[in-house]
Amino acid sequence: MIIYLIQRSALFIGFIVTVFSSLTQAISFEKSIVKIEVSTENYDYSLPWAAPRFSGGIGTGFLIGKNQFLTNAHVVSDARQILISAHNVDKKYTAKIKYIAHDCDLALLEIEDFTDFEDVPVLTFKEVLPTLDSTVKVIGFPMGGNRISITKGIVSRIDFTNYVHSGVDSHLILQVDAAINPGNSGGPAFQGEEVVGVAFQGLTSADNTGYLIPVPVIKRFLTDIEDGTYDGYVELGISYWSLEQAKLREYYQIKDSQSGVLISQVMPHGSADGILKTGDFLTKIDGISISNTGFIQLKGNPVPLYELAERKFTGDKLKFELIREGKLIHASVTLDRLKGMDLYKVIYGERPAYLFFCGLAFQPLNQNSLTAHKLSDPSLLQAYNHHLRSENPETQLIALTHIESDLSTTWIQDFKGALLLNVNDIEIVSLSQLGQVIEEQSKISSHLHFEFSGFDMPLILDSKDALQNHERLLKKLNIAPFYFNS
Amino acid sequence: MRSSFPLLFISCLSCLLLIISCKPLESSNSQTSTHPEIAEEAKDHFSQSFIRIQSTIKAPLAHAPWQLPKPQNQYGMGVVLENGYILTSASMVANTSYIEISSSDDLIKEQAVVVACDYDSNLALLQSQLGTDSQLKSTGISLSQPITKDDTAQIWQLESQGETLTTTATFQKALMISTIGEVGSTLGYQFKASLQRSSNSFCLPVIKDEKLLGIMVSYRADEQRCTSVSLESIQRFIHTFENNGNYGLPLLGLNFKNTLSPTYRDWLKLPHDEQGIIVTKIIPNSPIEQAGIQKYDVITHIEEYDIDSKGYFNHPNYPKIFWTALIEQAYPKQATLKMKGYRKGEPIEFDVPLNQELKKHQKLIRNYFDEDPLYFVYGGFIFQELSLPYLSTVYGGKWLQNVPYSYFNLVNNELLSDLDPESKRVVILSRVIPSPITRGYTGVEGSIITHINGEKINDIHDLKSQLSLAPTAQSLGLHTLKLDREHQINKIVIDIEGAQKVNQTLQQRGLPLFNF
Repeated sequence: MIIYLIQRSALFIGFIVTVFSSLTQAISFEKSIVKIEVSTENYDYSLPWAAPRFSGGIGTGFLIGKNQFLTNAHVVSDARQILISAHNVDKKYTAKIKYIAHDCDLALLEIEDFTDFEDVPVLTFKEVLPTLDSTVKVIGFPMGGNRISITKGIVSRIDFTNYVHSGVDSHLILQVDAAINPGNSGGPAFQGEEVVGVAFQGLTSADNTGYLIPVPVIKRFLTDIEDGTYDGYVELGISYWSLEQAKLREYYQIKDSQSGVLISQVMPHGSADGILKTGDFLTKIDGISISNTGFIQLKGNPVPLYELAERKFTGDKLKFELIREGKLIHASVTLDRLKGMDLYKVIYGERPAYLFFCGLAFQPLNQNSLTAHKLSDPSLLQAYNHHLRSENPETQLIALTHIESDLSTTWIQDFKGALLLNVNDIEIVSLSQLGQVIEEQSKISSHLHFEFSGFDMPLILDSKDALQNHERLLKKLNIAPFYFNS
Repeated sequence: MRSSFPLLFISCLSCLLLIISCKPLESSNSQTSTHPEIAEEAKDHFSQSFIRIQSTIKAPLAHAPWQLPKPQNQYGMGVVLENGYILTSASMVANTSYIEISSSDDLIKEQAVVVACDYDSNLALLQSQLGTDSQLKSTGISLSQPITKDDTAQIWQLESQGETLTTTATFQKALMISTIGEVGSTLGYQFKASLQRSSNSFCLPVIKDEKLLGIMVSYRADEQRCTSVSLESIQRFIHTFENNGNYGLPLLGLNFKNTLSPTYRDWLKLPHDEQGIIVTKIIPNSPIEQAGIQKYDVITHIEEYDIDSKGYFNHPNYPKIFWTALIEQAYPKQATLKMKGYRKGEPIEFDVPLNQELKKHQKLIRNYFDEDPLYFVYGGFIFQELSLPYLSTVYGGKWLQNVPYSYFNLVNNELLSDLDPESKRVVILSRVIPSPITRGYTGVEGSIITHINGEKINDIHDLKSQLSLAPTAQSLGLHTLKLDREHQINKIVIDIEGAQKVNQTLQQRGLPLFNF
């Protein structure tokens, strides 16, 4: 059975034209490329107390160091069991995830007993990006099978694009016209004997557009995990306007000879918050001059200034030279992840948190709970979209996602899908705190008043009745009253 | 065969399904009965009371008012009243550039003018431009008595060759229907009827015993259900016309909820034998607030009627109907509406003023019937006033989900209110056309303009006068616009000299710089 590996957007759909070249002579590295069979467990965020559904899929990986198999994060996301097998070999090896980076769709696996692979050659990366129109070979296990398949194409484009696995990240890609299909995911793309990228996604709306994760992105991942943890991409957290009009330059006191860009937005809680300001005119980043359109020269190539942050790590510094109110200023920004962004990323491998009380189920608002319940209340959606920029983006947004049909809940059904603001005037900032507040308030107050965003009336429960109904419903449904993840 | 006919049943903005007829059809008469009680000769005479109306609609484009709207024709019917004027629906005449009336046999055609129009009641009065010289022979129809449940009426249609068609419609109930202007609701009738597609069916007369009962304004073919403007609305409209009064209905300014939940009833200390509705939100300065009503008051009686837990009352003529019907029953005869209820278990009484003041103070323009969407172009920046048609055109039906957070805040808190009496309208930067003056400014489209050169902007006229000012010595030849944007640069500066040059080129390309 062949199962598509892409969890989202089903990007690899299409007919394959795999090119079977004569394997024995063409490939000297066939043993280094492995098939990855994954059994997955997927939690249903619309029924958070339910056991996960079991499923599975096939992908490709390759050896890049001693007991280091590189593959895509999406191949091994939500995995319950991972088995690795080599081309034309029957034996399967149990593997586990050593590091996983959902933001750049890469993962590093290791197997329990590496002995059989000790003599297998390790694949190496080509240091420079391939040129446009140069040929690449993509190797993998598309649509299953025990033997590797090779497809060939040229590099059509090198660009920044969305990495669909997390839903919100964009990085550099190589676009190739080789046929890439489900099962190819995680497989290497070669120029000569060197790896130039990892196959990971494609376009359904266009023919022959496969995407590869290029070496700079892979190298960044491998460097990031050197300290034993994957920290992820850092964000500068600014937007800019180009200041090309002479009158505007005069207004912002910029000389004609000075090139640079005007900061139009500084993300609250971002790396640059409190250091750079809107209206600052950035002239240099890490000593490199910024052009009037926001480009910098990096290794002889013009790239957007953001790309400098792409290659940095948590805790790294970026130095800026800028003009603020006519004065030349130097500033240093310590880079960090924009943590609030996690709210908008797809969550993998995590059991959904919930709190069940008297027929009401509360869940933290995140990409998974939002889509699973198809939440559509305007107040809730607006609060969700704005949370990153709100005063406390670390707080959880709590939604009332489910109301059990019962005589005790019959008059409150219209609160379903609403955003909880407070309980008995206590502001709710996390699911576990909500649990505490309900527990305390139901003992000391006769009533519980839940206030929801966009609702004129509170939801009111009689504490005594609610506690009784709560116990009765728990027994009836045979579920745990809550699950809080860390 | 069916699919080759032009589309006859379409939905309109106000969620009512309106019948539109694109061209006359050769229809079979088998579904339609001739009214048995009217003899042929009498029917001929009677049919002279019906006038064909063809109107050319040029509805302004809310998101791009500088573009010329495509004219669209719609066909409907009017009824000649005893006062000689022709009664039709307001949607037949809203945003029209031309209205033509013709005799039922289509032989005489004359241009018509609108004499009176009430968008809240969806009614309009027309007369021939020729006045008393009109060649249209007509007989006036008087108004019917109210209809009762299971009573029948006839819906009249005109076929292309001049024949009249009548369809028997069974009265089901009176109900509150949304007004076409997206403000409040009004009394309407619901009938069960199996209508056939025919010409001039955009609005049709509903006749009972040869007298006018209503004007049918929507039809759902799948449910064979149609809605008409009520007799009461017609009476009020004519009364207002004859007395030179103000058209339209009052807005009270409240949100409410039912009292079904025992928990709410206990919490509000509502006596066990009382029903009614809970006031859950009050618009500041609204008639409800002026009357002294507070949030969480329960209204149990309005005038002499008991309001039930779901908000309905027993109407003397009709099956149970929603309490808002009492507003238009009292208006404009009464200056206030008497309400009784409970606050924390204690009885309370109020006189709620009935007026249309609240409607005048709406920051968000609800429709473009009486005014055009105003715009002002300056150097490639296009400014407009925020309106409901703009929001639904740009951000879709679920616009409240999709609008920028600044709009959401505004709409959520001040949808109908006049919290800040200074601020009349919300001026936005609706569009940025690429030009030397707009170069470099990205992501500013949709921003709310709060100040220009330090002066507060309350409507587009303020904006125009500020941007028309000559540069001062301190201004560096620039206008400074302050925008309502969080965590983002909140001002843009525009080079005056450059903007004037851009304006000239835009004008040369046929874009008028403003429309007011």
